[in-house]
Order: sequence, then structure tokens, then C-alpha cells
Amino acid sequence: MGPESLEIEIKVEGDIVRARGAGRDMCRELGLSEINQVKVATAISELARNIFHYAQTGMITLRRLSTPRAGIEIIAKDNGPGIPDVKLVLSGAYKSKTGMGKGLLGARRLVDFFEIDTGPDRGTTVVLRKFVR
Amino acid sequence: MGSRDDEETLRERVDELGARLKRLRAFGSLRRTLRVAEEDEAIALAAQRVALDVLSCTHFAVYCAEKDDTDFRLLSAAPEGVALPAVVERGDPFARVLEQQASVREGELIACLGPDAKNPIALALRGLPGQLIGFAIVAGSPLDGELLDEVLDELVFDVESALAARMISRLRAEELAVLEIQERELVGLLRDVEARDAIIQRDLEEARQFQRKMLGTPPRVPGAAIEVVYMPLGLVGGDLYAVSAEHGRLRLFVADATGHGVRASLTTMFIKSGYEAVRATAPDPGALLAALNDTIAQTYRSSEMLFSAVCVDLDLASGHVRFASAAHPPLCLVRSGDACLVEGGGAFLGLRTGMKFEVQEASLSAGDGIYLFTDGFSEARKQNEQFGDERLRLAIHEAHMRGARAGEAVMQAVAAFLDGTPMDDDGTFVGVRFGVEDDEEPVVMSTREPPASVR
Repeated sequence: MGPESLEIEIKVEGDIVRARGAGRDMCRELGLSEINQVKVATAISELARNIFHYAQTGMITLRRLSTPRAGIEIIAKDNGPGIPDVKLVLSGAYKSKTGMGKGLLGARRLVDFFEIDTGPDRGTTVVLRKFVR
Repeated sequence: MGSRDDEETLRERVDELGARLKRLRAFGSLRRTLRVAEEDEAIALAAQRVALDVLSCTHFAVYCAEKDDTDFRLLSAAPEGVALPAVVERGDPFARVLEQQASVREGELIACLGPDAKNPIALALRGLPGQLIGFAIVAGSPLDGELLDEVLDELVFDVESALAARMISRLRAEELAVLEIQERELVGLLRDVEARDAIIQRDLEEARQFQRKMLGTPPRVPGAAIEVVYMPLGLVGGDLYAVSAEHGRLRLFVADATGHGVRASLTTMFIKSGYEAVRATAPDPGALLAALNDTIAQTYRSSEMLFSAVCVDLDLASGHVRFASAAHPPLCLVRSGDACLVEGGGAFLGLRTGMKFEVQEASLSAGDGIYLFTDGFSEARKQNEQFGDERLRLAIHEAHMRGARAGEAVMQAVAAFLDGTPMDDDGTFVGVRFGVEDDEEPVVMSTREPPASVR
């Protein structure tokens, strides 16, 4: 079994792939189905990509959950400029030219739990959870 | 008296019509607002405005779920400071009842409005029948019974339509976002695969060059014209050949490791080094195969390194030929204008130590030829038909008689037979025309050039 939790710094583009792979490994060990492994890995790589593009650096933390339900928790944290209009972005009504927001929206769709805290003063923290069925 | 009553009635009628017109206008304006609202909160606020301003309600609140399986969040509430909870769980008994019926007049949530809320009622907001997406709580409207019901019905219908439309467009936006990021993911993965593929191709190309170097070019030998064809299925192959001339004796060796591709090509490296170790000391082909077999079978487990081989010694002065075979296809002798295939028999090499291999003899005159090959040519298959030994013998015979290179002729004959179907095994051909000088240095023919991308 791998570690209970894992921190992956996002600094260079290669870190996105690293975070993705580590997440997928943890999901596999937790016994998530293949398709859910891919969903979580995809969500992780979107969050990591967001960090890399908008905040340059940040941290992805992967954690095993056991109570009340077994699963994986992903926390993506950065001290970047925050996301203006995050509500509009998540409502899906936001038409962005840069594709910004698509990652968040898609990531939310791929997991069971999604929470975001963002602001210009505190950067962005996204918490995702996916449970083993 | 009648006219006063009439006047009264008329005034009431005018007031009523005025109120109806106001409601109509308000609903018209509400619908326009709802149509362009981008957030659930905006929808709730627009509804609240109608409820307070037009229907003169004292209390109004809207709860809505983000998806059809999530909890209900409070989007708007009036009057300010009303003590409603921010979230009502989907499993809450109050929500359960609203899932079943269109309205509820009592409950914990309604009690939260306080004692001055008159005639409170909670109304279900539905996306599809049976799909609760939210609810509205209304109290204190001065409108009476039937009219209130009618107006509230209309308000509920407008609000639930708008919220359901938002939910659908939100889901659609999410689905699209998922598609988009999955597409990005796929492109990334494809790029990884391509990069890895390029590395493998480069490695294979290096392996190909390495294998070609190991096999080498046959030496130029006075009194013998030598030709070699080497056609691996991929960049590297499981066949090998060796040609050497020492002390007036030409020694030919052809072997075929089971399988093809990288694994078989690695086997050829071991066979070649084993062969080189015994080549100079083995007095005849039978002894050579026995010594080679012992070397390989001692080092590797049974069948780990399994291969067929044929070895020929040709006395360059006399034309005397000795040969031995280990489960290898026949060789072809062309003597005095006749071509015949000679079966060698023998067991596969690499099975176990201590095997013996029978030596057969023949003699060649000037102009005769001896040809060795692996099974790739005769077993070349188109649909259910094999090229076969007889076509192979004929191709060799015909080419030999007109003084052409037999290996090249076999390649052409097989290609014509296959008519575009690819060969499914490696093919190797080694030929010697005795007593004939070759004008040119011997070359190894191979039609399989590496693909342009790795050249």
C-alpha cells in the first residue's frame, strides 16, 4: 500500500503528469474502478494545469479517506490571483475565450464532491472527493 | 339606487382589471428577466420581487438544488433576517413530502417563518414530474383562495421552468467541459505514446544496425560465388547466417530461432556467439552442431533457446560437401543441371545436451550450386496456399541454370506468389555456386529498409 497522503508540488509542466500518475496509482490501490481512476486522474490533471497556467506554482495533496466512506480526496491549493466570477464560471453560463473555467466545471462533473474557495487575497483552494462505491 | 350600485360594481371591476393588468405586466417582466438570468440567485430574486411587490406577500423564500440529487440551498428570503436554514438536505422529511405532493402547509421549515406569517405554504418546484429541484415558501398574501392559487401556480411554473432550464444548461456545460478536458487528456496521452514509440523505433533501428553488423558480409572466396538474402519480418529478425573460409574449406551456417521480432533477434546473438566459440575447432558439420547444442543447452533451460540450423562444409579444391541439419528445412543441391532438395533431419538445438547429428556427403563439380534457406520462403502463405518446397526448388533451379542469383529469384517468385500479402516470417537464403568466380564483392540483399522516419 502507498502512503496515506501525498503532496506534489506543481512548478513545471511535468509535475502535471506526475500528479496525475500519483492520483491514478492511489485510486488503483483504493480499488476504484478503471473508469473512475481515469476520471480522478483527469480531474487532477485539470486542477494541476489550472495551477500551472494561472498561479504558476501550487500544491496538489492526495489523501486516502476511510470514514465515513472510503475514497480519495484531492486538494489543489495555490496563492495565485484567484478566480473572478467563480459562481458564474461554475454555473456554466460563463463564455470564456481562453477556456478558463472549463477545467473546474469538468473536474466537478468527474467527482462526487466539489468545493472551492477563491479570492484575490487568498489564492484558490479546490477540494475534490471521489468515493469507492 | 341602481346607478350607485352600478357605479360601485363598475369601480370594483375597474380596480380588479387594474390589478390584473398590473399582474400581467409583472409576469411579463418576470419572464423576460428569467429568460436572461444566468444564475439561480437571479431567478429567485426576480420571483421574490413579484411575490412582494405584486402579490403583496409578507414572506417569500426559494430553495433550489444544483443537481437533481444534491441538497437544497436557500437562494433568496424575505423579509430580511427570517430564520430559515441555509441548506435543506434532500433526505429531509419536509423535502420528501414535497417530492410526493405539490404543496405543504405545515412543517418544521414553515414554522421557521414565525407566528406572523399568515397562511404559509410551501410549493414544490419540479424539473420533470417527480423530480424535485427546489421549493418556494410563501406567506401573507392578501389575495384570496382561488385567485391566489392561480397566481401562485403561474409563479411556480415560471420559476421552476427557469430553474430547470438553468440546471439543464449547467449539466450540458459540464458535460461539454468534461468532453473538452478529456479531449485534452487524450491529446496528451497520444503525445506520450508517440514519444515512447519514437524511442522504441530508435532503439529498434539501433538493434537492426547492430544485428546487421553482427551478421556481417560474407567474404570473397576464390572458386566460389556466394550470395546472401536476409529478410527479417520487422527491423530485426530471428534468422542468422554465417559464412567463413579457412584452410581451403568454406563453412556455411544458417539458423532460425523460434518466433521472430525482438525476442528472436536476441536469441540470434546468443546463437552467433555460441557458433563462433565452436566454429574453428569443430572438425565437421555434425560435430559443430553437437558442440553448439551442448553450449546452448548447458547454459539455458530446455526450450528457452530453441532453434533449427544447418551447417555445410565445402572443400574448395575438390568440391566435396559435408553437411548436417538440426530440424532445419531441406537444402537444395543443383548438380549437372538437376536441382534436388535434400532433407537433413535431426532434432532442434537447445533441447538437451548430448545430441548427435548425422553428417551427409555429396560432391560438386564446377558450375554446381548448394543453397541453404530458412522456412520463411516455402511457408509464405497466401490465403490457404503455401509457396511450398516445389516452387522454391523450381525458382532456384531456373535462376541457377541461367546464371542468375538464386536468392534474388526466390524473393521475386515469393513476392509474385504473395501478390501484395506480406510475408509472416523471417526469410534467409545463402547460396554458393562452386567453381565460379564472382566479379563483385558479395553483398547481403535485404528488401526491408527501415522506415523513413527513423532513417
